[in-house]
Amino acid sequence: MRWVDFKASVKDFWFEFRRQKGGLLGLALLFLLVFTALAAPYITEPDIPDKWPTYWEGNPTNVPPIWYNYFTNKKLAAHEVLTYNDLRITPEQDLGGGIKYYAIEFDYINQYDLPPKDLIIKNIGVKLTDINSPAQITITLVRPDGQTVELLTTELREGSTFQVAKTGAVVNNVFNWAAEFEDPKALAGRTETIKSTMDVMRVIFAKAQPGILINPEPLHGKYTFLIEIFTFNEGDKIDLTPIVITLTGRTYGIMGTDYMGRDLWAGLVWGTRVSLTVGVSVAVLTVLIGISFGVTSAYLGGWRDEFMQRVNEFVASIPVLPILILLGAAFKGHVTLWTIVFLMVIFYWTGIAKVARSMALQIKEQTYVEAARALGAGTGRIIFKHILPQIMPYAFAAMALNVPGAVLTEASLSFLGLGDPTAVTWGQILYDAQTQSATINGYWWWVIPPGLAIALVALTFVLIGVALDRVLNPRLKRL
Amino acid sequence: MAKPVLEVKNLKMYYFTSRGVVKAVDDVSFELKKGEVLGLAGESGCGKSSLGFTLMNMPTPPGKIVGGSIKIDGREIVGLPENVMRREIRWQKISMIFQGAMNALNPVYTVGYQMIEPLLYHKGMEKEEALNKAQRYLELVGLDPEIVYRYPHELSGGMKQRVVIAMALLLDPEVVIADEPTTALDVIVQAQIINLLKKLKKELGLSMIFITHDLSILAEVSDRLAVMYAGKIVEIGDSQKVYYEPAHPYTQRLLSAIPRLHEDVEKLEFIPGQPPNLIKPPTGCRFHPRCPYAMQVCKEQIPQLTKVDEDHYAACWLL
Amino acid sequence: MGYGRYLAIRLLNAALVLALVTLLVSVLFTKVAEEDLRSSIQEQINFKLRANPELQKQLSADPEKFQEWYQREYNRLIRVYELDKPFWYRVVKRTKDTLTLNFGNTKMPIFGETNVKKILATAIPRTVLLFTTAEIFVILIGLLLGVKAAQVAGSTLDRGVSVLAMLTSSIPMWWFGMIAILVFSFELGWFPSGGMTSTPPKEGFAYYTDILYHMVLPVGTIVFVLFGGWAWTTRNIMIGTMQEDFIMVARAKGVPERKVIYGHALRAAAPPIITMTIFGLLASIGGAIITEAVFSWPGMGRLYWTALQQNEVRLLMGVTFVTVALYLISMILADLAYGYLDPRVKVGASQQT
Repeated sequence: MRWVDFKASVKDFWFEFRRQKGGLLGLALLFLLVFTALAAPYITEPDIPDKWPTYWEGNPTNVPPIWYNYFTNKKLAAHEVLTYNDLRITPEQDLGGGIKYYAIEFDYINQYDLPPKDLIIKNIGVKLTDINSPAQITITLVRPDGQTVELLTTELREGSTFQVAKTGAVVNNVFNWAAEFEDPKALAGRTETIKSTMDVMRVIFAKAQPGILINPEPLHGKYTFLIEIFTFNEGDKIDLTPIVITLTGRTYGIMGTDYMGRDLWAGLVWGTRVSLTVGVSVAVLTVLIGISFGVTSAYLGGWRDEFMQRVNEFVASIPVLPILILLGAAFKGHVTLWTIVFLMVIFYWTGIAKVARSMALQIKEQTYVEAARALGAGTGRIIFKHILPQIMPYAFAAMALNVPGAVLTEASLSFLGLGDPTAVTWGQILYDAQTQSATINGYWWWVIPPGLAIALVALTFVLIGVALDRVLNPRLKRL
Repeated sequence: MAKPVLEVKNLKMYYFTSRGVVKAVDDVSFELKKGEVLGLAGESGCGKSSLGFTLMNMPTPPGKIVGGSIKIDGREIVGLPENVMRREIRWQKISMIFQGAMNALNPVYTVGYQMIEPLLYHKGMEKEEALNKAQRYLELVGLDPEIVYRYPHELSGGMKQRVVIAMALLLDPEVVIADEPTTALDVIVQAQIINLLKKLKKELGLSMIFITHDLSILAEVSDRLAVMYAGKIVEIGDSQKVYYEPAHPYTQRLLSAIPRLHEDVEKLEFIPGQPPNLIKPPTGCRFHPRCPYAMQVCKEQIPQLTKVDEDHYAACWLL
Repeated sequence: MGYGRYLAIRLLNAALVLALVTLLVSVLFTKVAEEDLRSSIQEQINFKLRANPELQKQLSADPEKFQEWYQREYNRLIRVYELDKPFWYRVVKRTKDTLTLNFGNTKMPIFGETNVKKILATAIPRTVLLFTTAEIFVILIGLLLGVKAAQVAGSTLDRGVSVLAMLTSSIPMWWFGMIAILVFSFELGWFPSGGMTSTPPKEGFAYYTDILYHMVLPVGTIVFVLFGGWAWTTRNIMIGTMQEDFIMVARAKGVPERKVIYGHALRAAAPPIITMTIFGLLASIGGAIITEAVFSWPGMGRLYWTALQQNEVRLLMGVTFVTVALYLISMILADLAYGYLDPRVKVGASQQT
């Protein structure tokens, strides 16, 4: 095929393809997917794959995305992380006698019906000269109604982290403060039960009225948290620059979080890479192998052809998924993406080989190929000059149509827990969802998006493949 | 002369395709008398097979009858509702002999079942009785009656063709349309089928329209001959007259393109040029781009059929 | 190629696949069993030592003697369990066990059983119940819809079927099952989220209606994901058939349109439709089994899930072997069905014999 002819046929092809609305939609989706896959480190963070298998500290677990608030009448607090620059810091004050004083202050506007799940303070740089004489930290809350609640006074040591809502002392303090407003009858004899079940954060952000403990009603407005630190030795040093204060949200990010506090949005974006890589590599490899096998078989003819046909039939009648599951289980733990790709390629080339063979057989019988042979053209020349160029269009359609199968199979294996444990995949997110009973707990944000993403990738290639097929296969074009 | 069993007047059947309207049958008129065989000849793609299906009032989609009239035994069938067509006309008044070598028989049913279907639906016959009748007709076309129990794939091409003929005659229709009944058969079998049709015509007094591109066959079986070109009949008349004294240049060319047994021909002729595009047919006489005698008037006006001789008409400005 | 020869090749093929799978299962099995047995041998020796304080006293005095005793004991048990035999010898033995469905016992009881054969015997009918019910719906709906679409090719209905087929073929079936649970069980509370019966199971007639009630979601999921594809396949085959000459002939004969479609066209298209259907079913078995696991239906899918989650290797071997065997049997059935439905094949075969 000459270059000019090639250009002309590409032009013709594009002319026909442009009229396939589904195909164009598929192309647009493909573009979007490839962009997402490439830009994953910039859209989210570059270290997601390393971070993925670990627990994401500080993140709320199993919370829906922020935009969920648009659809509920109970507004849920967003996740907020405050660092040094977000805080009002009172610098070191020497109170004499070796005692130094530091204060950190920040405001929190509560506009939610459900306040943050927790308040976590960590990364205060502490250097103590005497390990037996730790520093002291006091956390106080000033509420919009003027009430002041002293939440916690405790020791501050190197590496201390304070999870306010989970600290027993805080529970006691808050209970004692709130009990003054509560109806005494409601409390009678139930102190311990209430203490063990009460949501500290909801109480401190609630209206100071009867019911504050039993059925807290949110009090909106400006809250001020005051964190005071005292050190008692001359050489003690407090460094506040690395401090991180987290108000654990009841919603998180664009897609919420799972049971390990992982940002599902990041998983979703990074999953595109795996899905596309696996799908496209399986498709390309199977088509290459299938076409080589089919054309060779057709070209050799005779008993070799017969034999290769039998081999093809043999592989084609192997039930793929059970075998993949078995092999996946055998390699469990050290499966890589490429193992999965390899295993799928082994089983999936047969259909294409069959079609390629029958196409090659037809082409081989055509007069101009016989003429070429009579003129002394070699095997290679006939295959590369005459047979392959005619099969190529079919090959592209077959590639596109093979991607969905590969994507779905990979997802299924991951869903069974047999995927690459180091990769971030949609199937794996759904596997976690299944083992953590996300469906019966109603964690829709964990279940719906990954599946939609899988379906979207599959659909993209189905659309492109069907459009290619329509353009290249005139019988279908008519219908 | 007997009265006509089939009268066709100004019949128009167009295919409405995405590329445009194909005028496959354009203003065709003719008559078929009882006991007569009318041969219909023309190049492939001239609309002769389309005409055959149109006469059954079942043009192949996306075709539609857009005008004209078809009267069978005096009854107008254009515009009849589909269910009336099905119950009262098709196969009973007008039936068709298909190309049996092709796919006219359903591979999953026995020959007998396919033959008796119309008897069951139209005559309400019992299966037993219907099969008996089918067997009689199979014998009539020279087949072993036992093949009612056979499947189509067990029969040879010639046998299938005979089955298809027997099937078409089963309800004693007024008109039989034979659509290329001998194409795709080898020469010996072709001759057998032609002889069979001749015999049946004599014995049953068949009124038949015989469609083929093979003029030499038509000369043998037909009483009258019509030649179609680009959806129109260009010449029609007594078979002998049309065959030996063709009046239309197209007919002349067509005839000189077939070898004749009893004449020495130096060289076989062929008709230069391509059959016309029926979406945008040439203006005036549709044959004029290929006609050696074309004149100015040929390009401008459509010639009508004019009388050349007793029962011999042609549409040409030369006449 | 004659039908007889074709069938023979298919049978041979199935036998080869089964042999390969058996071998694969046996090799993996033998390896795993070896690890199991070695640790079990250790335990047995330790147990023997603990149970006999006399011996313990005797041996702890002399480490050399202990070594000797230990080695003797170890070698004895190795011989008992035939671990001294070459690997391939054990594989062949294991192959015999696999073929006789002798998979041994699971570590933990499943469905109140530890014998893998018995567990499978409990699970298979349940899977068959669920899957066949779903498939009957899929085939019926798919067939009717496909024929209708073929009749009105190019219409809105026809395009709808194509779009639906494209969409549903892109969806992982098990994921759709999760969505179904989320919507119909969690959100709306119409159906149970999983299982086959309520706990505790109901009595008498209510037991069966309870099972039906539990089947609604899984069956609905399978049907929804598969019927579009089926309709589309049927449509494509039907459109091919409707362009055949004999359909036109049937119309010309005045055969009523319904009979033309359902008698002539569908009957002639039946052999390819049936084969496509069976092969399609086989292809969807994997997805359906995983879907079963999502609905905790106590069948084969659950066994796969449990085997993988709890590392029950023997169960995994058993369940894989049985799945493959069932798959191959269905494939042969598909070939037989084709031969039965297509007289070109059937009569040809009977004439040869």
